[in-house]
Amino acid sequence: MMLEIAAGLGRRLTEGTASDDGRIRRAFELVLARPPSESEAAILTRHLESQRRRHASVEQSAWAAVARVLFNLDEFSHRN
Amino acid sequence: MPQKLMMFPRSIAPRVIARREFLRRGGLSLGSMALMHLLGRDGVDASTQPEARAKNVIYLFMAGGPSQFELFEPKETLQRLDGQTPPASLTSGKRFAFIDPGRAKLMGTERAFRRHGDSGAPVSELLPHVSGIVDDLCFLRGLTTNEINHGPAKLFMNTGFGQFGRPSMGAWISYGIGSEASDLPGFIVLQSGSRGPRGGAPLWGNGFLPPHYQGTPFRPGPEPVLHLESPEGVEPEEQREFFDTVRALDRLQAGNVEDNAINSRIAAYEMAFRMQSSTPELVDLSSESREVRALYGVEDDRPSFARNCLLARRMVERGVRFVQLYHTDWDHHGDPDNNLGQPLEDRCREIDRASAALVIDLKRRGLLDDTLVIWGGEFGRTPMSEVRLAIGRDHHIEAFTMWMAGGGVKPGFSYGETDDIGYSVVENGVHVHDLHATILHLLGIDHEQLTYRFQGRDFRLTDVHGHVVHDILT
Repeated sequence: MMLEIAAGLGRRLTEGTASDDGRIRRAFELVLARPPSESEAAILTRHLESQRRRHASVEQSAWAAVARVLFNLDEFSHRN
Repeated sequence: MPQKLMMFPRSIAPRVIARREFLRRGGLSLGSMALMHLLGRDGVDASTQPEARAKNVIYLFMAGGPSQFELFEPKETLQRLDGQTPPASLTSGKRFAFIDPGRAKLMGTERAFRRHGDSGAPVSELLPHVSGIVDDLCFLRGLTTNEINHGPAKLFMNTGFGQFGRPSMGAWISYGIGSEASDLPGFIVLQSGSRGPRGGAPLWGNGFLPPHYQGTPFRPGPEPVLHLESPEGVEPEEQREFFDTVRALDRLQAGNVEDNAINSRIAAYEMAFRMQSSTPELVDLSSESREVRALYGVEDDRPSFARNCLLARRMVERGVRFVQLYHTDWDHHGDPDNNLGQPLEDRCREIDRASAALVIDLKRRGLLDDTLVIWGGEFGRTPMSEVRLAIGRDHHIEAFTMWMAGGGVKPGFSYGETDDIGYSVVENGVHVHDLHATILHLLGIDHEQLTYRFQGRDFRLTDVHGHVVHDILT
C-alpha cells in the first residue's frame, strides 16, 4: 500500500511544470506539512538524481522513490 | 509524546579506574564482549558485576501452566490421600482460580514415574526424551509466584510485575549487555501451538526501555518477518540507497528533536536492511543434516515447536542473546480440550523430543556451557482435582517445578522441596524474583545494579526483591 501511495504521489509531483527544487518542496509540504530545510532538500535531491539514473526512462518512478523515502520518515509516522 | 528518556542507571560516579583494572584482569573470554557493553553504561560499577557464566538464554515457555504432578513431582502421600478433601487449615486464606477449596478433593496422578539417570530425578512416562537428559538438568522444585491467572502470571514471569508496562527480562538483558548478533535482533520470540500466549506482545515488550530492546517475534513458516523482502522490482542497491536517505533525514530530525525513539527507529531500519539477507539464511534448515532434523523431530517445513528449537540453536550460534519460545495450551482444567488426558499427552509429545534434543545438540556442539536453557510455565497446578466434563487441575502458585540446563547451573541437580502432597514449599523455595536475579547473575549482571530511571525512580527487573540462588550455580 505504501508503494501505491508513493507511486501516486510520484505521479502527482510530475504533473505540472515545477522545477526539481519546487517539486521537492511541494512533496515535503504535502507529506510533512512543512518546507524542507536546505540540508534536507539537498539529501532528497541527491536521492532523486541517483534514482533517475536507475529509472532512466521513467521520471515518475524516480519521484515515487523520493515519495517512498518521505513516507518512511520517523516524522511522517510519529508526530510529537 | 516527547519523552526525555533517562539513559543512565543510578547516579554512581563512573569509575574509570575500576573499569580499566577490570579489563586488565584475565579470564574474561566468556561474555567479555557483553561486559564491555555493560561497562559502557555510566554508573554501572563494573568491579562488582558477577563473572558471566552464560552468554545466551533459550527460554522454553510452556504457556498455560504444565502440571508438575503429572510430569516431575510424584507424591506417595498424595496418591494415598486421593479423593479426600484437604483440611480447611491448609486452604484457608489461599487463592484459587476456579476450584472451591471446601469441596475440591486431593488427586494423585495416573501417570507412571521412574527415576532416571545417575541423579535419579523422577520424570513421568509422558516425557521419555526429557527423562534421558536429567543428568544435564537442574530442577527447581520450589518455585512460587504471585499471580494466579494466566495473563498476569505470564507478565509476572517475564517482567517481574503482574500488569502491563514493565520491560521484559529479554529486554532488560539486551539493554544491560547488548547482543553479539549484528545482523539479527538481540531478542527473538518464536511461537508454536494453536494460538499466541495470553498476555501477548507485552510479554516480550520493552516497557519504558528504548524500543529497540523489545523482542522481535518471528512468525512460523518460510516468511518469519512480514514485508522483509524488498518490494518487487527494487534492486538491492536501490534498497540500500533508500535506507541511506531515510537514515540521513531521520538523523537530521533526531538532532532537532529530543526524542530517543527516532534513534530506535533508525536502528530498526538498519536492522531490517541487514535482516533482509540474514533471515532467509537463518530459517533455511536445509543445511541441517537429516540426523539433526530427526533428533529434534523436525518434519518437512511445517511450523512446530521442534522447528523453533532448532531455529533457537541457530540463533544462539549467530549471537542472538535471548531467544524465547512459547508453546501454548498447557492449561488443564478439565474441559474436553484441556485436561490431564489426551490434551496433556499431546502437549508433552509436541515438546518432549525437541526440548531434549536442544540440550543434547547444544551440548555436543560445545554451546551448552555458554547457553542457559530454561523450561517452565507461569505457574503450576493444584494437588486437588478440578472436575468439569473431564478431569484437570487448577492453577497453583504456591509450588511448581521448572528446569534449567547449561549456562552455569549445576547439572543433575535438584533444588527445593515441597510438602508430602506438593501443596507448599518446605525447603529452598525460589520466588520468581529470585529466578530473575539468578538468571541475570548467570549472565554477569548484578540485578540490583541494572536499573533504569523512569517516572522519578530507578526500576529493576526484580524491583525491590530477589536473591541470587547461589546453591544451584556451578
